[in-house]
Amino acid sequence: MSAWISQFFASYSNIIDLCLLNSLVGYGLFLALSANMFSLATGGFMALGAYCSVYCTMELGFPFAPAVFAGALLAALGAAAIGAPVLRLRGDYFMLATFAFTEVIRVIALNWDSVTGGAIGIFSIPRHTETWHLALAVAVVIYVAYTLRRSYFGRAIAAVKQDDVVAQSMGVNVFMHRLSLFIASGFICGAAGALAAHLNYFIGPGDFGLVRSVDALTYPILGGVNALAGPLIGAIFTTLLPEALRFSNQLREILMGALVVAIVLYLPGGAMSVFKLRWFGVRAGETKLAAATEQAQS
Amino acid sequence: MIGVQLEVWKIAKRFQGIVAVDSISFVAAARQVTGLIGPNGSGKTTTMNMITGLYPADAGRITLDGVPLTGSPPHQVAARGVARTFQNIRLLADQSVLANVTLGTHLGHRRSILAVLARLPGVAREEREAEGRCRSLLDELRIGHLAEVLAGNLSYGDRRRVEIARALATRPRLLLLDEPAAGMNHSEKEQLADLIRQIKASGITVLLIEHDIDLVSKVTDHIVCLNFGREIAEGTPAEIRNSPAVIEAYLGRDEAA
Repeated sequence: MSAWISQFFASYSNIIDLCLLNSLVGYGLFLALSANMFSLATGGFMALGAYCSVYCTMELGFPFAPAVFAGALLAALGAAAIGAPVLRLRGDYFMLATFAFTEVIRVIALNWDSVTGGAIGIFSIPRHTETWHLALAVAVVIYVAYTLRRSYFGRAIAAVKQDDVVAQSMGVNVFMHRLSLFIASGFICGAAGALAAHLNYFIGPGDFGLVRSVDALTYPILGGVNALAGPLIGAIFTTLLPEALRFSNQLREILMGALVVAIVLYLPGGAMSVFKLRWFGVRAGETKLAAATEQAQS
Repeated sequence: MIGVQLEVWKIAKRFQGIVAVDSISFVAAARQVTGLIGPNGSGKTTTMNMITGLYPADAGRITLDGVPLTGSPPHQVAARGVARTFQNIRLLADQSVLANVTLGTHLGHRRSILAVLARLPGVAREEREAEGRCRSLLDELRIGHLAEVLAGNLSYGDRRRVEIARALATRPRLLLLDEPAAGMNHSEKEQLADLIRQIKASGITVLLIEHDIDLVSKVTDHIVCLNFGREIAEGTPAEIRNSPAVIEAYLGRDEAA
């Protein structure tokens, strides 16, 4: 049995690492989405974390853990710096501004040759990241999200998400709550960037662009933004699916795209909402009926 | 013992040139129920939104027990002890009644986020106290049996009660009720009147914004009547009922009628 397990890990460790890494990023976005912040800054935060941590380990000779922490901290600082002006924007404008941030970081990475290696990137980064580092990081983030959701902070965030006028009227400082979540999201994405850099031997400016940011958004959205397990499920699903579809290179992208569209169309609450549908199916139906009757009456 | 005195002095609000509130001044005496009445579009809700800080006032001054409130953002106004309900009920529909009401205890939580994450014992105690207080509030409002029901599934009258419970959960010193009787039937209005008297008896200052002049006459000590963003009459319920300006605003002039 143990031989089987070790063989399983040996064959699939790359995939497992990738699943965990994407889950970590997914939880970073989950925090942002829990206050309705559709952030495209993920690529930028990951780049900050990756380049900073690599600089720390390779140039300054930092041990691994402090280097990852430094990377995460720099990304959190970046979030704090852009958060103050950007969080006042709503919806589309917020998305555009965070996208601009990712682009600015990418262009800096492309041109600051002495630190980032420019377009060529940085090679032969020492491989410090172990699977258990990633698993531990995901576990910590899940614990934090779980504990916060059940606290007064989580209640305030839920109110900010649904109706910020109500939240303000109950004494919630909406701006500070959104800013602290955005900074936490930056910290987690920065840590993920640092861990990714020390997993892959190589980083380049192309690794942290718009595609990265959009992918990161799909994990929690596919998995479900209301369920704690949503980002994990979404990230594993999105990471495994291309592997499962390896038999056809052409079909792969098409099938992947079609699945994403299908989930968004038919399960707008994300994949985790399937469970809710089964458990509360009857009651959900009743609610709809009640709402309809009420509308008809008024 | 806890109610504060609200003073509003010549406040004004324009929306892109349209005058919503021209110049309104009134006092809501501490621990009394003051009514703010007027026809549709007379500036009642705009006045309320300026008091709670949702709209900055273009001019004028608002004070609580003499301390200025003007210019404070809504969460700071709430922290000063001002709670409100909404004309178009704003509950979190997909959450339980208890969860909605517990949101009102937000300012009562003193433990930091770090204490929450470390699960210090004080945090759990604070949560239990908040929940217990909210449950007893729900019992007082006779909706204790609905604590676990989703707010979106409630009847209209019950939703209004949950809104009031949520506002009371903030331990307010001034409670603003924005048309709480809208859409209620006769017996629900009677119950609401009882509830407002009960809130007054507990020492909270109440500002009641209302259409229904009968309800206002029953529960208020003092009434301010607005029309077209100006105050047209002020006095006791009996004085207001006989004021020609109020009758004209509500029923129109003789010639027009």
